[in-house]
Amino acid sequence: MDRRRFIRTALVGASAVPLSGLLAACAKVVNSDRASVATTPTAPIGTTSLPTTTSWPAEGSEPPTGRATPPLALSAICRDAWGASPSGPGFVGHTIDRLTVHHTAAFLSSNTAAPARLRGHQSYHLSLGWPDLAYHFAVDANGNIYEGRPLEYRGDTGTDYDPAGHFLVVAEGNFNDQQIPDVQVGSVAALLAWASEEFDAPLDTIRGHRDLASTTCPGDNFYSLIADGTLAALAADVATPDATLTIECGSAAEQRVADIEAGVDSSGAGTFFLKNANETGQADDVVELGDPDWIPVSGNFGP
Amino acid sequence: MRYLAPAIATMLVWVAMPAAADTVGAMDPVTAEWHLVRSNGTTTTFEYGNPGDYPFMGDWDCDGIDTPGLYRQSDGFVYLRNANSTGIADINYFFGDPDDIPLAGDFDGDGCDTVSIYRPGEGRFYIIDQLGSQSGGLGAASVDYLFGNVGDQPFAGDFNGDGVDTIGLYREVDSFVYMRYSHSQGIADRSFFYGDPGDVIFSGDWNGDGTDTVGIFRGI
Repeated sequence: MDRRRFIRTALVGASAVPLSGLLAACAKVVNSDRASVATTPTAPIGTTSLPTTTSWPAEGSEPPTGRATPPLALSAICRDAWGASPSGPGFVGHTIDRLTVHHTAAFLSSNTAAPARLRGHQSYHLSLGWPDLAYHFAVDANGNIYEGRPLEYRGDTGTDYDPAGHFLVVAEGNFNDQQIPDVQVGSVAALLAWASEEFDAPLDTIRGHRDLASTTCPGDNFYSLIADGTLAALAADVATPDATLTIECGSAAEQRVADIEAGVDSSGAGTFFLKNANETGQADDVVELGDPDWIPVSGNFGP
Repeated sequence: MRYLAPAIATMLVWVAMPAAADTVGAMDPVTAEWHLVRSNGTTTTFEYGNPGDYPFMGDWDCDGIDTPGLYRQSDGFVYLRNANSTGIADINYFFGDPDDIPLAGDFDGDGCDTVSIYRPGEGRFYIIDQLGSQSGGLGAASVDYLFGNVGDQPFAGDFNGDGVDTIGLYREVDSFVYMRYSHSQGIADRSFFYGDPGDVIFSGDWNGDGTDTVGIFRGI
């Protein structure tokens, strides 16, 4: 199964769990876990990805005739649930007509830190005199989506482009130094699909931050999926008429955040990080297979 | 790496032939369902064993293909199957004590895998180069030795490419990997950081160069 199919499968599998996320300025690193880089294996894009938790039709098959595809339904964790501070003054209104993707540039070694990271990003952005987190939504490594800045307001940036009109999604992590998980890509794609319909912003307006300003954001490993059209194609795959995005609040959302921080949010997957030398360094290959509580084996299983 | 005898009788040396690269798989401990990624990228799924069994893979019939094994930690029984499919065990016997951890590998370099054990309460490995049969006991280990600390995660592999699988340990608290190149007591021949606390370690020849290298499994 190729990466594109896997990502969509992961998204479908995660559909019972709200997708979410949000972030800080790409070039401004806060709460970085850089010290863990050397011990945290990551691998290059394009490696094998093998879902097993969600069944998938045979290659080339189509939905049965007369059976409607359900509308895309996403949910995001509301600001109160992830512990956002109140917004400050200085919002500027705008009208969204394009779609732009960032990363936080902060290495994320464990997704349990994602909500705290988000709070840190917002705090940092407020300290810059910005009215709120720079982005409209953030997505963590498990594909959870977090509500950010109100959509009716323009984002902020420390780089040299005008964010007016941009729907801003930030993916938690530093994708120059680590791979972006398929489930995270899937949630970003789904958000873009929703925003495309909601704001009549064509999917061919999807850009990475580096397309607009002098920055490496959103990281080489994520940008490659933008540059080769994979992200737009994934968004097109999951786009449906009447797509919805629900902002989830209250005790259920608070429990979701608690589960994320405890590492028990159900959108996780089992991931193998394989290295071709017995030495410290990044993984040479990454395989996603099954659930986190499965027991790994290895060997030559035959053709 | 598997060492194959050359067809030309006059050649007196063994020729190292490139081995097929290893891949990964996993067993769902709740359903005892196995999911194996084959070398062609397809996934084979089948049921084998009981929930709670400890899974591993090995080449029990020396045909070059790794197939499932189970260790029932409640009674020290080993159940080996020679095909990657649902069915009954082809070989079963007991070896070790309850709560021992099984380690599959070719510990003498003969091209066939056997099942040794690690006794976590002692930090001691019990290596054996044969398989049992007919529900019987296997007897004493070929060699036993201490390596590492209580609580380390054991694994096995051919870490120096000599055709013999030896022992490695993963110390979860600091993500340190320790490897030994021979079946004897001593300090690690190689050590390095890899992964994060909580990862599960294993090894395999991922690029077919004849040397087993590390991999980790992480639930994220």
